[in-house]
Amino acid sequence: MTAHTDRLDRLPGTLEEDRSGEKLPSARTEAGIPIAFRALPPPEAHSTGEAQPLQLHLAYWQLHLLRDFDQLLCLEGLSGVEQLPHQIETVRKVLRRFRGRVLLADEVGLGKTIEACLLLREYLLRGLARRVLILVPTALVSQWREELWSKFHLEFSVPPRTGTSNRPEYWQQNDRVLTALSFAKGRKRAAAVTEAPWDLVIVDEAHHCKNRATQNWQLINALKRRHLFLLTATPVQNNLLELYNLLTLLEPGYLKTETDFKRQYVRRGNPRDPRNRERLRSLLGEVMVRNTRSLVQMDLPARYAQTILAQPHGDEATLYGLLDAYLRRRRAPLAKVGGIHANGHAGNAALVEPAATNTTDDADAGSVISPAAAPGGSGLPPLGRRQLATLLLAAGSHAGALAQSLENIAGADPEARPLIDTARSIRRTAKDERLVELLRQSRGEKVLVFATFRRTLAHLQALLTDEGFRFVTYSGAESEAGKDAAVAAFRDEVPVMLCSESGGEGRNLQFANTLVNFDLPWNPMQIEQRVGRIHRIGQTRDVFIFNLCTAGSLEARILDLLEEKIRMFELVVGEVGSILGNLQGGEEFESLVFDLWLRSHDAGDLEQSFDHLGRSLLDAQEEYLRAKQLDEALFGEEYQ
Amino acid sequence: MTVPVQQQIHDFATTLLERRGAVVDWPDAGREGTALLPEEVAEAAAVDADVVTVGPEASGEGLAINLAGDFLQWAGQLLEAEPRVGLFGVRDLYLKRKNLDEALARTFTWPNAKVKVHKSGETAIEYHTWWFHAAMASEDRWETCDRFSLSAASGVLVDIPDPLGLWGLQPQAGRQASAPSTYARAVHIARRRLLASAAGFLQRMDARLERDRKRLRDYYDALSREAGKKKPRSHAPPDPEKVAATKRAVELELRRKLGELDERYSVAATLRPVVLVRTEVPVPTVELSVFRKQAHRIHTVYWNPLRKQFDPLACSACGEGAFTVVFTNDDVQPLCPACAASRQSRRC
Repeated sequence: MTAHTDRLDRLPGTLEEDRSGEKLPSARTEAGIPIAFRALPPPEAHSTGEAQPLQLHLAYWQLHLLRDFDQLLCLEGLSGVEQLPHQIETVRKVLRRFRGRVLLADEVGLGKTIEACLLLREYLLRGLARRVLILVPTALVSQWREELWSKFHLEFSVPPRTGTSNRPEYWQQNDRVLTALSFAKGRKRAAAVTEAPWDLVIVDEAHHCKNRATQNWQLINALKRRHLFLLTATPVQNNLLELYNLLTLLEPGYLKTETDFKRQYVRRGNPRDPRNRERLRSLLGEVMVRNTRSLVQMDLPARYAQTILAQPHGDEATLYGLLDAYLRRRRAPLAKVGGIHANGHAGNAALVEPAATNTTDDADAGSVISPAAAPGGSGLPPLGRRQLATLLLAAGSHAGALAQSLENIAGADPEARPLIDTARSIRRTAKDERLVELLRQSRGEKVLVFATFRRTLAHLQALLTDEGFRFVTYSGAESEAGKDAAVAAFRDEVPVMLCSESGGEGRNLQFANTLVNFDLPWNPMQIEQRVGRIHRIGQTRDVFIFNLCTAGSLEARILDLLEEKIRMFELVVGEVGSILGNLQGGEEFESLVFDLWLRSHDAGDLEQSFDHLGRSLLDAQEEYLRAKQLDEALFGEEYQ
Repeated sequence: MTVPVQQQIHDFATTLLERRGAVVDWPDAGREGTALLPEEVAEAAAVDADVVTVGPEASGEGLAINLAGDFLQWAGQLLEAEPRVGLFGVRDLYLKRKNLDEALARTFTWPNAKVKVHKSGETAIEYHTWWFHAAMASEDRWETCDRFSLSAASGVLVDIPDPLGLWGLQPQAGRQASAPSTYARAVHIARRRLLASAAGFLQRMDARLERDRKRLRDYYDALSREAGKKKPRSHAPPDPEKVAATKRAVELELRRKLGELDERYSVAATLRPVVLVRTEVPVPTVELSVFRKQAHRIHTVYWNPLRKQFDPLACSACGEGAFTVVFTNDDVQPLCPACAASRQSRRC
């Protein structure tokens, strides 16, 4: 997995290499900048009488020199990254004009993260940066890690939630660290984080550093760094001083002192209304890039979502009730399960085993097992957090996936046996029926059907074959050629494509405009990514999303929250991330959901907790919308 | 990517792959071709198959040959097996055999010594042509490639043409190559030339540093001043202890930020000898009898047939070449005018 990233580390001319070689007498520039010289050893004695190998060496170094900023190195060798012109332009601008210190303030959904990652890759490839620290809201850690790896082939270390990350050595020895800002500023770690020198620091959702009295601001200010990218769609949330504080992080003194700034740019009595707009605009233009949707012409067609509740009956209905009771019996007391982040904060990756991996359905049976006996009295240890989450997710996906997961995780428990047998005996679930109905109604429209578990995908293949539907499957298990063929067949011949979580990323599937979530990830960002496969640039028709879920399931509650409270499916791409980033406590959404289940005693209890979470979501959304309106009014389209 | 660059990369990649044993069928730089790779190459390029597609944006298992990605990295690894020292000779050069006295008189001046031609002869000397890749990394980055030649006989810098382009260059691979005697001198010269060629870059860094320092000082000075001011709507004067503490904190923060700034702008310069070509050239020589006061010494000057003029004499103090040569009193060692003047002023 690290082959490519290791290569990046060893590129000639990088900071790493500049530290080797023989030291020569140093010099100073006129202004006193020290120049440390090093010479690498002479060529070895192995010689030739041919000109060609020598010319090859010379051509090689000439090619190195050709890599100037006109030619971006970061663009090639990427996987699944749509390179949009405004993003490329932003990268060039930051490289040439901003010299690595910039506030990236694109409107939501225009790809600030992609821009930052492109810049990061460019800095690494050119040897302009080696040690990189990325600070993001807790809710976005897993998404960042996934994107950095899958799209940019960059592997980052996420500090474990153990004593290891309190030690300075962790931060000194790891050259690439991705962590939550709230974690980094922790009392035990802040000093270690700030003592380590960083070549580049990236802060996502940087408006959380708007107030200089906060630990967030002070942590960023104290970091030893050469370059700093601040990312936020809403640099000003309440008043202009927040913008001043952000820019002071970038370039202290750039907007002079707070008093000067207030005097020159803030209208007395209305801290949201700038004075001297022209001068402020020209100053901001030197440190801030803001692309807007209208200017880059990225207005997408509407999207409509419909939740289809499938009412389970017979064995299926019984199964869910029994499973819930069984899992509640087998869970450890909360303290022993390990609180909110028992598995580190790797996010959904820690909770969900994607269909594309070989470990699908094979939850880590050894993780977070408490030595205490299960309260159920079966003599078996309680199930760990990850195991419980996998079983709940499998139950939300399909009876077949549940049977397999139960077999893997709790096969040795005699109490689980009847559940496994019942799950296996269910041939067709209520969701199956609704899916078949839906596909029959689609009348030849191209339909993309997503499922998380490989077992579920296999079941859907059997179901569609039985029902006489023509379909293709696109999952991580297919070869590259197989994937190409599947996309081509979906485009030209068959009406249905079954897709795993990783399926279709970066592919042009805009010829389809209907998507079915056969099961639902608990992470809204993952749902957003699914929708993004067809609701993206190039889509000309309205997009229809159908969410299938079993009545009374956790997924149904999640959908109710996302759809009813914040109307997630009507939001612009990317807005969900901003809203989740504003959630009080800054925890990952899927962790919050799981904790609600874990802490609840029964369905009534769970409902109350979800109500509370719904209110928090609404507050977070309101905060986001207020800031969005203010920023639109403040900046307009003047910073592209 | 522009077409000439693409062509350049194509030519480089094809030659390299073929030298490392690959069979390459890639006639058009802008399109995909195929290559049959030996194990060593496949391993370096991290591909599993031995027959792969090659091209600027090869897909799947193919080799993407472009300036991004990892092409330069694995090409660099493959190149490690290729020699970086070339041994050549130039034969059948037209050696100017006419009387060199006139040329000698026209080329050199001897301000403080009497010089006579002792004898003329012929020998073979090596010219070492060095290619350096030089880089400076600071708040920004700057790179260059530099070539220069030194006479291995005297160590002086000699402006000869690129030997790899010389007509009549003969391989001398069989010749026993000792360690290059001119390495230390070459590094010294490369360092000096880098400082000269990067002057514009260094000036830019200076200007940016000054501007950033000023901005920081202005900002923190203003913060410090504000700390001592009476707050609006407050009748009580500020607490002097608090003011002093704030000022101390501001001063400390300023010092820290200035320190960080200095660190950010500090320059790390790297000199990497890329290729050395050692060209053996038959040259006419002239031995000179140099008389300085009571002392006497023989010095040899070399007629450079590639430049058709004498190579300068090496200054015994700084190693630089000189045509106006001052000799020391006791041991009649040559000095360039600058070193002679500096010795003179020390004596005064």
